Amino acid sequence: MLKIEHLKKRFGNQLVLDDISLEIDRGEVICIIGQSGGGKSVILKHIIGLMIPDGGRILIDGEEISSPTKKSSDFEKVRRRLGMLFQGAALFDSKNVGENIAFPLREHTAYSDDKINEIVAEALEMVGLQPSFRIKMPSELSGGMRSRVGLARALVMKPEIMLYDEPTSALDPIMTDKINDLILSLRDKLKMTSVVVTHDIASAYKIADKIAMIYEGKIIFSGTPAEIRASRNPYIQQFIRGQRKLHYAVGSESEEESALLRTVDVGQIKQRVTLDRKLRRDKSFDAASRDALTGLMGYQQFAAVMKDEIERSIAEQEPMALALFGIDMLKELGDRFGQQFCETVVREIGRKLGLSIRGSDSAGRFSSDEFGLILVKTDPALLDKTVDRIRKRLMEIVIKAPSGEEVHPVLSAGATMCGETNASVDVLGKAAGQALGRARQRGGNRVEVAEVPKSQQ
Amino acid sequence: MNPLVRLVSRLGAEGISVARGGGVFLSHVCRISVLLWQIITRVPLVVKNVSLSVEQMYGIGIDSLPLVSVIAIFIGATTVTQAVYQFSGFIPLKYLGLAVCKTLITEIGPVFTSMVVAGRISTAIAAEIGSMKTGEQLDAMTCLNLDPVRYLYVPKMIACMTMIPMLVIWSVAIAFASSILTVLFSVKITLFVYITGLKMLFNPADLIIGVLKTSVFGGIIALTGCHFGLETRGGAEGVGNSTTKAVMTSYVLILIFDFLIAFFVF
Repeated sequence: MLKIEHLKKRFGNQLVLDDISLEIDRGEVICIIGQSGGGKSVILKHIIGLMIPDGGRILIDGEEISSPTKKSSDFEKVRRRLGMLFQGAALFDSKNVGENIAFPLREHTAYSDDKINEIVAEALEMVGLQPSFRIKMPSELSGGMRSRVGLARALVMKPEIMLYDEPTSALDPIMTDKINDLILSLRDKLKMTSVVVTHDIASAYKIADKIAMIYEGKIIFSGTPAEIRASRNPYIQQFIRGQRKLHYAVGSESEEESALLRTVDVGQIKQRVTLDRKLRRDKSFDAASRDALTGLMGYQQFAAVMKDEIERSIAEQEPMALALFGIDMLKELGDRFGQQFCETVVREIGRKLGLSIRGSDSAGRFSSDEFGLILVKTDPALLDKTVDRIRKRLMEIVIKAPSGEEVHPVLSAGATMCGETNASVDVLGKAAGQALGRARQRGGNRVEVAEVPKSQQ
Repeated sequence: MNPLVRLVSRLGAEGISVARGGGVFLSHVCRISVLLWQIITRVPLVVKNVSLSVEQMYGIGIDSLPLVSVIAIFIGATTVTQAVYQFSGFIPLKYLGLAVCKTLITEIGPVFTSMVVAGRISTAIAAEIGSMKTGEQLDAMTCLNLDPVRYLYVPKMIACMTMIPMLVIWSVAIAFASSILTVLFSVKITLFVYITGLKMLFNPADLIIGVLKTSVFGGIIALTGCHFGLETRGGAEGVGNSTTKAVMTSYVLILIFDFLIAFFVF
């Protein structure tokens, strides 16, 4: 939907953006991460026409909206499709909350006062604020409330693409989580495409379908949250671990380098344990353990990640689930269209799975026709619905057979929550596998959830 | 180093500095001209948002009344006192009213009042726009397709250009009243003689031009406030610098335009 091609911007002698290219699909949340002052916000300002690029162009639905030859005044029409939440919300200080939200409506629509009041109340409700907030002045609001009012102001014009500039910077962790949930709920409710600029890697993991990392004016990484966590680029590792120094030892076999890594800015025992765990994970996640066909984790790596997540789930008492997705009738497809077609189906579904999961979740190839998905902080009551939603998303794929026929792959899924009685990789994997088997026995194209065995005590 | 070489190098450095200063000055002139043109082209749209201009008129006009009134009382009293002192022994006091009238309606009333109001308004405008710029509120307006020129600068310009002449009329009236009281209590002439002097060579054109030129001063006050507000860089310090530059520039421009109007009109 939104495409950035070879974007360049220079401020004086400083090259801020150097050949930035990105593609964002409809309904997707992309997080652009990178250090402060790295040019992240400049990208947003180009999308919404506050800046004109020195090179490259930006397209929405194939239509060029920004290029060096376009003027700022050409953006009036495009901006109706875009909304932006500024860092600090940028509320108009002289107007109260209600007037702030109503301002664009009063100027761009012919709505009556009653209708405008109704829309303002709806917008406030959507961002979780009481109608009584409308008479408050921006100076009376906390940072999180200001962000929500800023979001409400952008939402009243019903934008298709929402741009967020550091929406959670300077907010406490609870408020950060609320804003992140709000971004996700807007995506789900309004199918809104979102571009989020942030340096908060935890938020990016939570909300992003895709993460792009900018460094020295270039995109050095673009992929799913799972992929960025598995990246072996030392700068990316430094950034996502929040460390001052680069460490090149990640995944290295050298004992000396590994020892160096253990001493890098890690004082607390807990951090050291986490680091060891991550190191083990990274070490095993080299090219050999990556599934060559889908680019997801191979079984060995997936099992290591699952072990870590099970430990974390038990220690932190947070729910975690394992889901297995199996491609129904893959053998029949192979018989009909050939083995190469089967590989195409597996590859496309693997790719789609990699793009469909939350930042905090991890996906891997479990067996030849099965994919595993670790879902953290999942509501046990909604497990079947959550897994079914992902399953249906995977089934949106249409693959063209050599004969020209369009094939819609069908998937079944089995899932189970992790509890104290089944907290091991093998037991959990077996339970999910049995649930998947049941789903297939019952005709496939469905989700089955295995019960967690009750404690004998 | 050879003293001659040192002199040439010093002169060269000063030359570059002067040229750079000239360049900065010219760039300000260009940007102010562009801003003025943008404001002029949006003036017809003011009818769609009259309330914004009325709000600004209230803030600029009515809220300035107490300050202008106090200043005007002392302008009237000081003019009379100074005139009496300057006349003593040379010019008969029956001409006191004439001198006070001409001074108040052509120069002191309009210019002094405008400068006092400039101190209050141009700083306020620069601070408001500067804060909005550093707080990204201007960008937010643009993103909502709300043109800052139309919704912010034009109402301020209209308010300044209409309310400052009103304030000057008020100020001159108060100054006259104050001058009459001063004459009554401290000058040894009758009120009749003073008022006859006031009316002696009174020319309504002086009053009209004196008041109308303050409309130009109002435009200068609004334009410098908006321009330096837009030039704001950085945080609170940047806003402080902008307000200082706005008030200084508006003072200088008011005096320059006052001279130009006096030179070409009177």
